[in-house]
Amino acid sequence: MNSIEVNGLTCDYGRGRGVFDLHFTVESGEVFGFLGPNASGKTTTIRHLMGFAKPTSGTCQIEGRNCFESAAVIQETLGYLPGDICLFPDMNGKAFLSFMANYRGMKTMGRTRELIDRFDLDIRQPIRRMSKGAKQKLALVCAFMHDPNILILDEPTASLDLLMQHAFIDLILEEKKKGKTILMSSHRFSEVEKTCDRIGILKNGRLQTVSSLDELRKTERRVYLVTLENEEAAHALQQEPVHIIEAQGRMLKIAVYRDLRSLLSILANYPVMTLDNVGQSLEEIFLHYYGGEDA
Amino acid sequence: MNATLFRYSFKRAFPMWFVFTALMSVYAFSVVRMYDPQAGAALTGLTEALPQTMTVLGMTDYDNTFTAFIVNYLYGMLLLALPMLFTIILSTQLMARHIARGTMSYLLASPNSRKKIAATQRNVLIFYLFLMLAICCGVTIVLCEYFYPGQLAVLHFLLLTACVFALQLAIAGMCFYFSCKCSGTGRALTMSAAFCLLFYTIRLLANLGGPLAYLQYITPYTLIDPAGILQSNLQSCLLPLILLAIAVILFALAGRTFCKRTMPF
Repeated sequence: MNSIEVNGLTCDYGRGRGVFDLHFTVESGEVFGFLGPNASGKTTTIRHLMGFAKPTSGTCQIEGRNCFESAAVIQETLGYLPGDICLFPDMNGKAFLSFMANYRGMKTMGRTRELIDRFDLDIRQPIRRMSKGAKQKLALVCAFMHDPNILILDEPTASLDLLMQHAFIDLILEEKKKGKTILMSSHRFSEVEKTCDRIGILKNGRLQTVSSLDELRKTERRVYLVTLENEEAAHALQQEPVHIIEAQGRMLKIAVYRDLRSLLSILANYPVMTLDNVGQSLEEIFLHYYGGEDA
Repeated sequence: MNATLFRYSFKRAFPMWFVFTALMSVYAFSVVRMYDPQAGAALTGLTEALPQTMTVLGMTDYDNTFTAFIVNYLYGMLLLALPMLFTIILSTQLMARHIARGTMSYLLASPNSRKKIAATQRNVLIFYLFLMLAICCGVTIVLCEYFYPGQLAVLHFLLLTACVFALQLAIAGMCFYFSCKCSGTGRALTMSAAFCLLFYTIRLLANLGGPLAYLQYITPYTLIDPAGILQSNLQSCLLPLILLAIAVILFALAGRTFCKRTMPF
């Protein structure tokens, strides 16, 4: 069943800003990563899902309900972490959490205490004197404390240190095991790679691709460093139908898109000394979608 | 209405409310102490000498009674202006500030509907206005009874205070509408203050009479006629109902605007 459904969502801010004709779904129990450079429309999409903004055209639905019209009902089982953390500056952490708990009509605070311990948060500090990281942790506790079924997180680890980023990833993996639906935006690939089932890549307000992590890996190109016995052989190899990225004397960098066999059959005719896998991280795939006008 | 949010907003606005109410009570005290049957005659003399000035200030001498004196000084100027200022500031704090700061995102990311949030904040505003006028009215009655027992027409005074409350509600409805509509605190404050000041100035100009008298038809202040209410004139007593209707319409419009709008965060 689809938990989150976005159909033709368009919101034009003018001068090419906004989001245009977005279509995607997030299945129940799935972790969906929303990636894109700054100002690509990630937060705009999330604002629509939260019911803060009304779409110019198209619809967004969460559990079959319209995100703008039925926001209050949807919010009962939804946890939200804003990208801009604007907490009530006149309160301290404890007062803020108990205000939010009462305001939401929560009955128990057990989960809240557990989260506070987990993120090692000092809740006695006034919010206006908190560091960026502490505010982020407080906002995270606030998003998870009512044990929601659906989580919408806008750049959840933006100001967390490495240790807390790991704590956050562990938390996401636990929630995933419990069957929670999670949509999170990020421009940090490592956390997405570790947690997400599927990824949507957004650029200039348009969805470039939605695919599973495995599929993305399949489109991954592999780069091999071939060292030949002499430069003549290297020159000769450059004439063959292979994709050379870089040539330096006896060494050639060759890119392969899934078809390793044809490269090997060509190499069999050459005096190859070493063959090393240079490899390529997922990050480079994303860069392929991010950068350049052709993408 | 959400009780938690009501308590929070109530607590935040309390210091400001306290200062305004204390100021108004002190003013009421000085007005009551100022009364002197002989001074009443002097005031009549002043009105005869400077009829225009006194009319512009809204301090017309209806008749030389104690109640008229109190009403004249109390609701002539300061007790209209101070609650107006309070309303402008508080209404902006209740909605526009949360919207501008982004703290509204936390209020919206909860099972409470926009309608409920707006209703809660509206209730804080109305409750404080009611409390403010009730306390000032109570203080005035107690002081009058203490210093000049039996001289104040209590029923008329209560009725007039109720009418002033209706007027404040209409103004509050307008300010609350701007607070729901605007995305910036400065803008909401400017719009509210500008319209309040405009109506107030129009009232002063209309009071001048002559060719500007027609201006009285575009300011809500005209719907309050203290002299008529003190004389139990039926029309004067019913006109404030229009103010109540305006208040209901404006508050409903404000709530609707807030429910339909796109948030800036």
